[in-house]
Amino acid sequence: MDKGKCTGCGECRQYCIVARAGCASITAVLSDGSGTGAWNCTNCWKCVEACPEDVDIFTFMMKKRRELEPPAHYRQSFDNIRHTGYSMPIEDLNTIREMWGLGEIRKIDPAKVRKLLPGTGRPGHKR
Amino acid sequence: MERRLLYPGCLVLACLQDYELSARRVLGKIGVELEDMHEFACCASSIAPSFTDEWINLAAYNLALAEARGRDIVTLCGSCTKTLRDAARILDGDARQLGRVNQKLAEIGLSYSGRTKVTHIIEVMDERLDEVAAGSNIEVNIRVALQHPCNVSRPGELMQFDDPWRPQKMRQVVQAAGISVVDFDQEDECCGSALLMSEEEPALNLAKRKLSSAIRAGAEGMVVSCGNCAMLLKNFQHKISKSAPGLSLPVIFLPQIVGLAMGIPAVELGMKA
Repeated sequence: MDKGKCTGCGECRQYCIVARAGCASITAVLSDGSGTGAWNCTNCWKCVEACPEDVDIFTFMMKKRRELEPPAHYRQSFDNIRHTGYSMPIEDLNTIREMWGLGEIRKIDPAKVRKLLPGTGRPGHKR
Repeated sequence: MERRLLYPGCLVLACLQDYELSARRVLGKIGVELEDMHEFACCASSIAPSFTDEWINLAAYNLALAEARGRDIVTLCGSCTKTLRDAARILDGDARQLGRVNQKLAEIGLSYSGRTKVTHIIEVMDERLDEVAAGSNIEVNIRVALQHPCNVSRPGELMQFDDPWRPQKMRQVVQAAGISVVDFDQEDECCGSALLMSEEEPALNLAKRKLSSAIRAGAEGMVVSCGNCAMLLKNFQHKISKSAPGLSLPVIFLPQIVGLAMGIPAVELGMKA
């Protein structure tokens, strides 16, 4: 995917906390095409706020991510979503809820998740 | 009493029960009863869109589930709020996409027509600021710093709530409850939590900078209203303290601090008595 209306002005980078943390960032990819920072984002969206051209940075970043190997935590979280419907492990959900005095919650049937995300058999690669 | 569905999101459901408990208790006090949203799923967050365009089915499923119940949704995290609202807007503006999504939803007996409203807990409390003020009669002697959840106000054009550069709404809620708020130079910065997913050390350094700044400003606690912020600033604080001995700041959820000002016993807010 191209950068759409992005002129590479670098305004987004001024506000990018990931760039300031010394990491490769999506704003570096946008500003000068450098690095592989698409997976390093805090989702603060100051870049979107600052962009003078209203570039759809979210969509650009998500497409860019699919060209790269995902970090282990992202891969695991997506696997969790595909298999259970939740990004975090929640096996003992209702036992823990009872301890806190919270009511029981019925989880989504994983068969429904498979219907909602049918084309995602291989994490990291869109079928 | 108005009824809405509580959408806890994965993080709160899995490990932040104190946030859910206090949210239910305090919103109940200001006239919003939170009902269980059985069978909800992950909103998709920024995780699913990183892998597939089908993420919108997952977000739409949650919107459809609420629509079938005839209730609006209350969220506890910034990212759930933004993702669900983003999906709602996409579906509102794209009839073909809505049609495709509804084909998927039909397979599990649901449909979505665009009626579900999604509001974060700060927005709900802001809607009922007078009730917050009227119900807060106990003096809570603590000066707090605020961690604004980025996605409740950004992207501003989507969220249409608060100042996207200098959010003020959570401050107004906390101050309406009579609690002192301190300014600190890192207040308007993102906590950095999502960076934990790919680069842990830099994420911890961002949190260290944030906590140090708040402590220097005289804060005795930090108020959060997002599971992601809590995950880094609270649940990972022991890791941060390892490289910065003495750096310690209690992290409190927004409904917990307001609940204390309302005279709700700490234990009912998921806090130690």
